Amino acid sequence: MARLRAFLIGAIALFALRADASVSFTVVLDALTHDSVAACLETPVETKSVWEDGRIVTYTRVHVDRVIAGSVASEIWVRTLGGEVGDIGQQVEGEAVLRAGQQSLLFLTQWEGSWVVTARGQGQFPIVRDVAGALRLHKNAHAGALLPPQPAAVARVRAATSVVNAASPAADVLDGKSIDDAATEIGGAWRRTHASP
Amino acid sequence: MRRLELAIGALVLFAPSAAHAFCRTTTVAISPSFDSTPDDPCWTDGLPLYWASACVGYSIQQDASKQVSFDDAQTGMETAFAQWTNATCPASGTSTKASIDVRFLGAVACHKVEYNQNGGNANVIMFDDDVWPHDDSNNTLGLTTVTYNIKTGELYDADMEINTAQVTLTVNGDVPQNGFDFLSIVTHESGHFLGLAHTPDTHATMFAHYTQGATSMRNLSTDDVAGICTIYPPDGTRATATGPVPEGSCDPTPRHGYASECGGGGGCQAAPGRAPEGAASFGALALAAVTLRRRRRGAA
Repeated sequence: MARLRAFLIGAIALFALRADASVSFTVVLDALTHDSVAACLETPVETKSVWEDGRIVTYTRVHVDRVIAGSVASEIWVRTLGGEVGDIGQQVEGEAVLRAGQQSLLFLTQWEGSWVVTARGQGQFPIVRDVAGALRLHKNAHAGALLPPQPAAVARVRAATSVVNAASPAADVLDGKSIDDAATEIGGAWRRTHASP
Repeated sequence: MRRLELAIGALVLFAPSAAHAFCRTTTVAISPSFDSTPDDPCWTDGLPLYWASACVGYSIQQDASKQVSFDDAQTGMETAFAQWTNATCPASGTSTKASIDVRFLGAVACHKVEYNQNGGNANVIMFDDDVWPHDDSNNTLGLTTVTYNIKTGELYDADMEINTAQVTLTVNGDVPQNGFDFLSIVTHESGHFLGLAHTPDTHATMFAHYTQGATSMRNLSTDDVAGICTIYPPDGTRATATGPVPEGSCDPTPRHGYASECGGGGGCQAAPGRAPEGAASFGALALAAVTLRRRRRGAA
């Protein structure tokens, strides 16, 4: 019992010390898939930052390693806010951060003709190697200062399905999962939220 | 064993505050796979950000919000910034006040985030009641965009967007249990404005999680004070990556001059009917003089 308590205290400490980063509602799994056009495993290849209408935006060319759900080409440009041009840098906290060579699972949607990461940083799950050498999804710990999920969003999901994970925070559902397990989970959510043609 | 558990519990609760775990925003965006740990609480790649001048100016977009009137927004922002600028630091000579002042420069017409390299600027707080100009309209409540020099870490510009279409903010009176306290949110965002990042300290205003109905973020914790006093110590220096450097003289003019209009236009004037009062009126006159002087000099 004492060990259990100590473990719980440690676990709480680890949770408390995760420095999530901007002001957003936490996204639940089915809302994330609903708002996405595709989900894929990708590796950034190159980035180009430019000035657009007074602000810096970055276009990252990513190679799609595996399509998890939806439809997306084998290579696309993903637009994110912030970046560096010359000596000027700009940051928008909570935005997805795509770095060349750093593989992620991305939820993607289209906005004003560009591919963007759905729900900003919450739609990015970097792929990390665990102590046993297996590749796993990692919750983006810097997706902004997070509020609990919107009650209305949760209610909508619960009205549509009784699957527990559907209305759970996407980060909690997918964090630590292997790529195959994540693909299965996302596939289920995709079928629930995207009607068959 | 019981004592050990209590000791661990106490460590969990108090260690972050005691150790002053505050973090600074740096010139390199945080890697999404970075995990904060007790031994390594902050992302430290890049150079820490800071305002060089002893004074920084900010403006509020003239339309404010259906939820937050212009006057309430001004009062809220002044209160929020005052928390930081009036922080009492460990004594340094005769002064104990953080060496940064934030001044309200009046209303601006421009309603978008921008930084003009070849024109005037404004550090703007703006509200979006109807149309959120980004893709994630359902989830994002607020964004702070900071612009800086990547070789020095000097902040050039900071703009704050608040998505008032999605939530009801409590501006005056008691905050309902499921409500969002405007003052808590802008005090937190003001910390970002001044160069602070999220802290692991759960008691701090700069902690990343806001609890609905709470008002505790209105008041700075010891960790927050340590953060602002480290960046802007009372001795008038700036803590930079290369060591302390002297602050610049007090000039709240945004970089390249003050602009009310988008694109850097409408420089050096407050919007009609929104003339700053008191000290800020003096500030507007000072701005006019400074801007004219700069234009004559053709400063970059």
